Amino acid sequence: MRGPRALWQAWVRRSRTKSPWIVHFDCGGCNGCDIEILDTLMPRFSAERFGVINVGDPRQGDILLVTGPANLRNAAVLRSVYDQMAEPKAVVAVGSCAAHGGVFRGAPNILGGVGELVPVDVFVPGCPPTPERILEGVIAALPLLAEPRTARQATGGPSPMSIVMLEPREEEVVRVPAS
Amino acid sequence: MSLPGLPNLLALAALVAATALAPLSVGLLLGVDRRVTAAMQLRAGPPILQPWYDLTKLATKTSLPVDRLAASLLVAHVVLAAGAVALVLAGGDLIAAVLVMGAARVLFILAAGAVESPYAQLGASRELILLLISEPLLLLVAIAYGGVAGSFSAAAVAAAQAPVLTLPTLGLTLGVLLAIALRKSPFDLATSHHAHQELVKGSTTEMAGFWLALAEVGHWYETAFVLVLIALASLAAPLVGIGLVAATYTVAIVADNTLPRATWRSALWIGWGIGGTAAVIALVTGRLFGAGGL
Amino acid sequence: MTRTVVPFGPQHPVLAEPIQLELTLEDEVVVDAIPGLGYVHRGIEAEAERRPYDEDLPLLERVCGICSVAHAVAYAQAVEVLAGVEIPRRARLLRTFWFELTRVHSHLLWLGLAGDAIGFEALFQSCWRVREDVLDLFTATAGNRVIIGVTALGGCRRDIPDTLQPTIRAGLDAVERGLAGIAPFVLGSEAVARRLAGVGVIPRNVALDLGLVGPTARASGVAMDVRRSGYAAHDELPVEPVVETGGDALARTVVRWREIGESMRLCREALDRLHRLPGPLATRVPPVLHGEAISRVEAPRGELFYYVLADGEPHPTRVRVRTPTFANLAAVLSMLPGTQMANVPVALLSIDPCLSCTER
Repeated sequence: MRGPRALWQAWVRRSRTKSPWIVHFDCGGCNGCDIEILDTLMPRFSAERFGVINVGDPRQGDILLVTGPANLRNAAVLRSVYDQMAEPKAVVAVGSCAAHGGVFRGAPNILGGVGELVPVDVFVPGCPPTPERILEGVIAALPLLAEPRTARQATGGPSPMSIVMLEPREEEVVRVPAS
Repeated sequence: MSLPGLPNLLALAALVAATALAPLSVGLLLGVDRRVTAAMQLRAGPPILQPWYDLTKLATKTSLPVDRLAASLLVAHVVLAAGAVALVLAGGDLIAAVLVMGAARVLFILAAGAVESPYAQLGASRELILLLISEPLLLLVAIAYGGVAGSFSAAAVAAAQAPVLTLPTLGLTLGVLLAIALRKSPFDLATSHHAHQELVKGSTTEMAGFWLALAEVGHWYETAFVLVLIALASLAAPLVGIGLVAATYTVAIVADNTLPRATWRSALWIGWGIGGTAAVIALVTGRLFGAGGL
Repeated sequence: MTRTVVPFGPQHPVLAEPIQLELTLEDEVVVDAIPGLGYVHRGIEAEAERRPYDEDLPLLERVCGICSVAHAVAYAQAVEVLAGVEIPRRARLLRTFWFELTRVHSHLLWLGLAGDAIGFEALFQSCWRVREDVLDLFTATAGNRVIIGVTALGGCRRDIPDTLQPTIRAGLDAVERGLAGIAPFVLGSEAVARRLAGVGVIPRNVALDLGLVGPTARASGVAMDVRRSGYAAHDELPVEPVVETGGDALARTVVRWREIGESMRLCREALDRLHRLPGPLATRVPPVLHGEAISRVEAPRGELFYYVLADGEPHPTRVRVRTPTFANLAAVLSMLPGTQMANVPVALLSIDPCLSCTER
């Protein structure tokens, strides 16, 4: 029999992991990932079943979805969006560009991956990743929301850095019917 | 003044419990609402308990620096809104309750407008327009109830024979009020759960964490207030009340999903046009055929 | 009357992309709009001058994740002019097929976002649901949903074998069924028409003065469409420009909606001609080129222009891109003053802005 305090804490942890409000930040990407992120809210992928809401306001968000390579003009904006979010929060870097600059690595206005600017918790690879993978990235970040980062590190909770890497799926493989 | 006896204490405890539970049940209703909306868009919706999860999460977020004036206004807003609901539940004066609820919403508008963000300020001025639509309607409803029961006390209205049945068009006014409380189309112009509008989150733009949770609770009390008014009018025939809520929901959800967001001018005309006309018809018929006059 | 300055963006949920508009409002009416650009600048043109011609193709495909095929085709055409090669007929038909399919997905995407901007969430959801069927066709033919990488210098990288044709036709049927399903909520809906009519009006003479392109120009009665120049397979699959005269957001919606049907027809005709058509997929393009070339295509948002300068090195000396949104952004600034705040997202979206194209 658990005490009311333990019950309340269990309820809080449950609530925090079941209500990920998303802040989407395009740090200089090509639109591919950004559109696929919006696509996760569509009927086929239906991200709302995990409690996902796409909020426009960083102060109200829990998960920061960053797309695109970090460019010079957005560096300060990204930093300030991250700082405006309240703990517990997590950062998911969506797409190859967000991971390491992708095809734009080395271009004049590009700093590299968004990891240069904010601490990334989950990397979702792909150019662009499919909505399923983006959703998996969000789901992988959910346990990190159970407690604030400092508490997480103190109690040895889930690792602050877990990388999502997935094999291509059956439906992603091109099949040509035999002639 | 004598010390309260045990029955009085019990009644007080019941009142406090009912007031505390009122917003929680509204949360459940909103959970169902999100599921139905999702189903209309062929999506799998969130769990029914989602509004509770959201509220708990917001309330337990680590706090961000907040505008002190806005924060105190928000606290006062929730206290007054809860007070208005408690007043009706305790069988108190309906007119007073409507005015207290109006004051609560004015405090919320002040809280939204107290911050720098132009989005919040525009949201606040639109919230004011919603108040402008709903407050006269709420007063008309209270007057119509009073006309039937012969008294403005909620206890007297509850004891009278279901006013909704005697005042047929009053249901329409209550429906409009419920749609406003739920911020359903066309009354979704000040804020919205899905931030895809020109004002981002409108009046709640600058609120976060615990303070957003407070604003949410205040909003739930506002909805609870309308639901309690509907319940009051249909105690003798609960099915009528449930039917009214269900019908309002159906109309509101269908309107939400087949119509674009209205501008504030059309919201004003729809609100006053339908709700006001229905309330006036109800008042006149109540005066002619009701049990007691004013 | 008090004036408020509202910073619209750089991160605004109505748009997936960052753009800043500093709006000066009087009450809720816009009196002035100052844009702030450059949030998605990556320096692609400069980077393209450092990479070999064939490696520029995947880079330029990622100028824009929506109309990536348009950029690839426009660049490949310029390089083919430099090399003096003629691409095989099969490749031209394949390019047209994927290009027109891109237009369908891009217009559906826009229609959904426009629905979102007017607070019509169900339209947003249903447009994107139909768009999923289009993306399935990309997956079936190219293996990726969005950036499909089918274009090669001198032709195409991928083929559509005849054995795949029944699958694709079934997919096109599914898209058309979906389109029929949402038609009542687009053109048939009185409420949608009322919300869009009269927003962001651009008369024909202003459209000509500002040099607008694409659906934005066609909605103002300017009958221009680069596809009439006969690039890719358009010499054998001619296109009549879809023209409306209203010049407002409603006319732009109607133009795009009718163009979806037109593109579906072109896709089917391209498939018909591909059936049992023998021939190679690509012509060889030499790695070192000389001279300069331009190329124009009708991207979903309007005319896309490429200029490539070659100096006998393994990489281009200059790649210059002029995007349709660059031409159309002037229209937004001219239509915003006098607009209600509630209509700002609608007016802005009505030109279908693509900032990652514009800022590169």
